[in-house]
Amino acid sequence: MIEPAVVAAVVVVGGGILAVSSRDGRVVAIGLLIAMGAAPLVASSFPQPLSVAARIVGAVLAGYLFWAAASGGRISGAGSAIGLAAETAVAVAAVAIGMSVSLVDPLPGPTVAQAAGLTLIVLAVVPVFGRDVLRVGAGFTLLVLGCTLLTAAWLGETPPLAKLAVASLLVGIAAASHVGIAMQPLPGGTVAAGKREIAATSGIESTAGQAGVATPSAAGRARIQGSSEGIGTRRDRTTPARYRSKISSEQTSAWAEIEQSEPETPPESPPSVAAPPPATRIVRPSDRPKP
Amino acid sequence: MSLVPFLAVCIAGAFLGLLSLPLPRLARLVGVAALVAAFLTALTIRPGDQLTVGQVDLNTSWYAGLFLSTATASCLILCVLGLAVGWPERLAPAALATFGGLAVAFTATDPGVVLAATAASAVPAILVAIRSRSGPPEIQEAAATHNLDVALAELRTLGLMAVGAVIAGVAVLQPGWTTSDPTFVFALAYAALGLAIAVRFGAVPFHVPAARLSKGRARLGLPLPLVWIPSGIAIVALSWGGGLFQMQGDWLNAAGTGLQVVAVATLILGALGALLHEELEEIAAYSIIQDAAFVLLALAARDADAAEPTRLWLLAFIVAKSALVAWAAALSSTYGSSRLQDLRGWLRRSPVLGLSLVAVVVATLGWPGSAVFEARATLVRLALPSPLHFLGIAAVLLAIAYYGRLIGVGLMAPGELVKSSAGERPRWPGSTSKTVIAVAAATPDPKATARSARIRAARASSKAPSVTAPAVAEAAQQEQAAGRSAAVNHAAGVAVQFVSKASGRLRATSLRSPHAGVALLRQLPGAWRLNRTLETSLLVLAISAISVSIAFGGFGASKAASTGISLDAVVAATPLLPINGNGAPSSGPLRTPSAGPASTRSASTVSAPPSVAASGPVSSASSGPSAPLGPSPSSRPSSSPSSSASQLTGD
Repeated sequence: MIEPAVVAAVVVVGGGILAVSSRDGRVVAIGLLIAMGAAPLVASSFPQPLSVAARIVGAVLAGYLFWAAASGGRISGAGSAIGLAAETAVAVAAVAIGMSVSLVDPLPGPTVAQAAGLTLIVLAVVPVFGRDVLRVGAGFTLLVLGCTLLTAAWLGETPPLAKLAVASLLVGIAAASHVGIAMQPLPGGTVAAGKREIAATSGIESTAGQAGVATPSAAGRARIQGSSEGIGTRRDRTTPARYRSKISSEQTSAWAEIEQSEPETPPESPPSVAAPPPATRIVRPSDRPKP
Repeated sequence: MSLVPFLAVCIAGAFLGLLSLPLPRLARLVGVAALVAAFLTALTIRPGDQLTVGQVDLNTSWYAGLFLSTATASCLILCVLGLAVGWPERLAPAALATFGGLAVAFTATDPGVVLAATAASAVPAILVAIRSRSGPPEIQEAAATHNLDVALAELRTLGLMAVGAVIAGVAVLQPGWTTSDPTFVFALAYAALGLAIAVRFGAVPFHVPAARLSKGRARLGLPLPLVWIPSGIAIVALSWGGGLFQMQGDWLNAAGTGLQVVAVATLILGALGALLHEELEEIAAYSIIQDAAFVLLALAARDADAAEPTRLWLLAFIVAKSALVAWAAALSSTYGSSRLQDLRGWLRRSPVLGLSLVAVVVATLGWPGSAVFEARATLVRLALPSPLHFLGIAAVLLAIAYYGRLIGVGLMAPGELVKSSAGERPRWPGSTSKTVIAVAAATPDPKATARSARIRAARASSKAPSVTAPAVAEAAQQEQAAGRSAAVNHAAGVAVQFVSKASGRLRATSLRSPHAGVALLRQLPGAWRLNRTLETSLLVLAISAISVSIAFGGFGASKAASTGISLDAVVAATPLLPINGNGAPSSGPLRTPSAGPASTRSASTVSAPPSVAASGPVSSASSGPSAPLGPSPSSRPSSSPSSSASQLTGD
């Protein structure tokens, strides 16, 4: 029978590979959440519920912070430089080394904890030297997680307060990454250009002038107007996807879109790369010729 | 239990402060109120209190209470100063979160908790380091670039600290290593801790992030990442520096030498940086960096004797460097520039700030025989070989040079910017000091004659008519009333008619006198606003005076420095395990970490007397790596809880 610690270690390593190899920030957040959530379960005996609860709550909070930062659209995710397969191969090699070496004798914790910890440390080495704040944050999260797994392997079970402190540390690293991501330059050049780009993509015009500059007076006017145009003017935050979909659906109906698309597409225009599919002539019941 | 209110205030204050950030007025109110509450609760921390949380004992100590009180007081004064010279955004909640983490780190008896809490307490530094992006597009873009660099630097510093702390925790708890040279593990932990402290302090060659912080708009927030957080880490690291790292070994010696090199480079180049830079914030930052070298020297000393002077030095360092940052912020706010060449003659217009700077110099350097001077000299003597002891004097001379440069610039003929400022001269609404006399004369004074009051008021009114006009009228009325009352007093046999008339006048006078008092009170807010410069200077003088007092052993600093934190007792009582492998005798571990619950481990370790701190690790230092690295259980003296408590309380 497979021990729970082995399963948890496999999950931790899988989450780590996912976190360092994905380009999508949200997948990185999910990978980190998986790794952080499963890490306290890599123990020779099932840990105390209070300890596990503290670590899982911390993992969820840290994962949410990464998710919130990633869903803002500010991530220039470079992903892994060597790809998923190579990262997996590196992880497998690290697991093999971690299972074979014996630095502490007798080992109070499970050997798989040592292997998983070593693997996470190896996986985290490359991301921490980059300039992508998300990857650096993810790298340091994995690094600290790997060190805690090594601690679990070499020292055995730690008291609940230590687990709480580790959870606080992981949340702190996630929060620092979140703040750093929120403050980094927007993709596409300058801040103002980034704001214009966001406004263009979200379908919301900024009320703060042509340059998209956020000023308190403009934000105040936007509030007075009480319209949805105030969103995104004061705070440098992209419009969430739910607002984008809602606004676009409110603007036009499906019938109106089809009708508007016909005259705007000249028949002579060359087909573009991202050209929309040819509109199908839909005959409304009212348009049918009456007998 | 006396720790609980402090922790509660710190946690609540940090959360509420962060939540109220979008509302600036509320954020200031919450920040100052929470810091006041934190300071008061820090003062109530009693040495020797015990609290068990999550199977770990939290033992308060005299030094932990004094450190937290000093740090919260410094932060409170900086925030109050910020109300006048520019509110340090996010400083209050970030500092409260840090102090809460440090409180756990200073009181916990489990090394894993201590190190994780120490690393976690460094997280809020990024909140202060990152610049706000409000303003025109150019500022936003510059801030975005700055923030990216700062965020990366802070993340790496945080990660390094966290990893270093975890490595040190593993090494110190000493599982049964199978390596042939155990000192390698200790050297790794030692180097990790030293590197974390050096990077966080901004020691040379890791000074670029610190310099970038000073170029940003951290201003009053500068002490959090450069002073308070690294000082807390240093105190934790110091608990091991004088104990476990005393053993001899090639790897440990190499790590110690590396730390010595970094410390010496920081001691000299930090002072040169302060000497060569023009901006006040940069000078303050490099001054902090230079003085941080003494902490590195303490760690490089690997001597138990270095602990007490370092603790005293850290207390003085916290307040003195906070005072220096406050001085720089107050001066640049007074004259509208922080460039030294724009501040020629500042000392002539701001003598109180000049006095504050002198106090900061005294608190930092002291003089032969003073506590802080002896602490610095002791650290240099313990950490460096004899041929390099002159570096201590060189550091003092270099520090005097850059402080003297600041004072020398202040004594020069005032520049345009300084001339255009009123400096610290007391002012009153009406902009002339004569008005003050007039208002004072207009106030009811039974001993002053009404005529003289009228004359003074009339003279003042010729210079400040708009303000003193009511004063003249009041004086005239006072003269009239006083004349009538005198007539009443001196002519007792006058007709009843006249007496009743005079008493009517008296009643009118008594009604108008409070009116003049109310008028004076109404002018007080204006006077308060007019004298903002003087008030900020007095605030800076107050924190400078506190720093001088602590540097000379006041507020119980000397007594507290001899006690330490809970971890000192834990590390002192931690036996060193024998090394399995490479022919070393395997007599079995003295303490298997997984053998029992953590509470058992903590209880057995914290109750060791302080005398073991000196005997255990020192005896292991001479044994060499191939021999068992610690005293046998039979040779160890029995532990005594009372002696541990007396160590923490200083009794």
